[in-house]
Amino acid sequence: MMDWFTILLSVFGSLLLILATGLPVVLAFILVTFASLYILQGGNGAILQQNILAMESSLRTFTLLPVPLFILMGEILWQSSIATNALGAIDKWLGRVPGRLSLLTVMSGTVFSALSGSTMANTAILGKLLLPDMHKRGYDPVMSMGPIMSSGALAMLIPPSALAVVYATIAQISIGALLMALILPGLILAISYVVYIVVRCYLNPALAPRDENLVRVSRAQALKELLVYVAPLSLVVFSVVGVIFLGIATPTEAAALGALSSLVLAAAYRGLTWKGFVSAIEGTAQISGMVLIIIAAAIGFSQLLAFSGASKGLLDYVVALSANPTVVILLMMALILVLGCFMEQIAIMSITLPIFVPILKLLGIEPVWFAVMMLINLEIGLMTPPFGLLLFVMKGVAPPEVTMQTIYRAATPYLIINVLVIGAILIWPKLALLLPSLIQ
Amino acid sequence: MNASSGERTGTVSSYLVKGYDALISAFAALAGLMILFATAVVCADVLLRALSKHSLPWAFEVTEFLLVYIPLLTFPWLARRQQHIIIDVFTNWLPPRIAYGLRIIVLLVAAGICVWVAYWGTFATLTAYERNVVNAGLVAFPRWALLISIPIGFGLAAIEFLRLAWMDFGGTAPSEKPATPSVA
Repeated sequence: MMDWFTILLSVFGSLLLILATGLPVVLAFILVTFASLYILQGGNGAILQQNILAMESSLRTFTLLPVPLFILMGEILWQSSIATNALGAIDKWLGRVPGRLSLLTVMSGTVFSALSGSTMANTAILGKLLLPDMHKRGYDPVMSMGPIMSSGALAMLIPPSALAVVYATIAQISIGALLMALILPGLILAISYVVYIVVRCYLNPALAPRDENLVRVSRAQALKELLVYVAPLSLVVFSVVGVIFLGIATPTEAAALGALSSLVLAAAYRGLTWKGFVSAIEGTAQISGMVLIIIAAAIGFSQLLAFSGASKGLLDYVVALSANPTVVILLMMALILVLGCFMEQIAIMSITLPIFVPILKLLGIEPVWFAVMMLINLEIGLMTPPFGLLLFVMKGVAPPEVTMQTIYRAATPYLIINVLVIGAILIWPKLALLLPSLIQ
Repeated sequence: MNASSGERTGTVSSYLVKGYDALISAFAALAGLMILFATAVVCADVLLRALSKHSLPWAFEVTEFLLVYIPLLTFPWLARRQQHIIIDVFTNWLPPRIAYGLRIIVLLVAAGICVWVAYWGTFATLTAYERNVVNAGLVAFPRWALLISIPIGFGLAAIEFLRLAWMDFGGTAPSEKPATPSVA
């Protein structure tokens, strides 16, 4: 039998090589898993049948249901008028603050993040509704596109978050605990963006020229809009976060209640056409299909690593190194940051988690704490050049004269804030672990 | 561009292609309905439990079965629409002629992998059928009925990948790949 290092090197080397050819990620995982098992078993195919049974079992998991349901919530938000109405209502509450529209972006983006798990939809909605106005008023890209991308990306963290469910499934940790753990860091990020915007615009008002013709609405009108268009959204937030926190329902049940309440609200506002509803279902089936099948393949892949002895060999090696857990975490974070520049988030999780999780367990690193840091790191990957997904979403909604370089520059300060927040969570694990410890 | 372009209309083969295309789309629509059904069943279970002494004890298992069907029913549909997640960072940098050649090879390899999975998936299904393996739970559901979605999903996807390769080879493939949405 080959030694673990050769196995690990050949498995990951061939996986990366095959992924680079543009073969669908799910098939790349299956090819490497099947071929390796076949070779390790000396040409006996029965093990492949076992692997197929394992893939089927990994899908037959009740806790995976939030993946399609959270995606459905995002699609409903995208197809309905909920977001437009809520944004208008929040707008009426902001007075003459520095960087007014940038702050409106962050606040609305954070609210939408609590309704949807789709960063793409969130960024596109914010871009479509706010960018033209900011552009017209001469906002600097750092104050217009920066907040749109960074607060759009919060959807990945603040529950409902389909990626958190995928992470928890592959890493086999509590979904409820992870969803709760992501709330505080998500809010800290949003508050940090707000502080950054206010301070920069206070020091340099030219970054976000004030709107001299701002029409003031009466408090009563503003309150009415808040009660009609924003307050009811708390029903959705409660359905997802509240019921888990209070121990009334499991995360899967919470996801179903969240999807149902999104549908009810969209219908109540008469903001969802039949066509929009069908598109939402189509989009949900499409993204759910893409994701669920990769999860099955990734779990098959992690079984290969266990079966081949590669995981155990690596663990023995880590033990022999007697590495400092903090150094290990920093190395892992650096790797995710690099992969994030080139790869899609689910692919990164599928490749790295089968290796990371046993090491974390061995070193006694709190898995939920690590998951929060890794998810923020993956969120950074949505905005890092050259291939961050949201950079392209931004390019799609921005006026044609906006170059990619301008978009990179706009994202940079917010990326630095994200790295600082990861650092803060590394130093104070409570920031992530406080809420999960309070679950009833 | 329609996937069945290049076929003459009115012939038996064109009806077969149309019927086959409709089947792939119907599978995807079924997956969409399953997601809605799962939402309804789980909500009904929670609300019944909260408001009365009743609940739907079968909801848990039935939902689990649906989670097997959803990705496999959409698998060939996503293949046809070229919406499976890929890493295109490197292929985007290749000169067009090399990228074209590589794309056809990759599609053929994709079809090959699907056939490989469908082959062993068929064995797994037949074994479960012969041994009469039944899901151990409240709902007695034969495991072969779940496993069979694997050879069907992957088998049909193999056909889709071959079709794409054939269209690419004949120059009738869609010139631009549709944008792939992401879960993030």
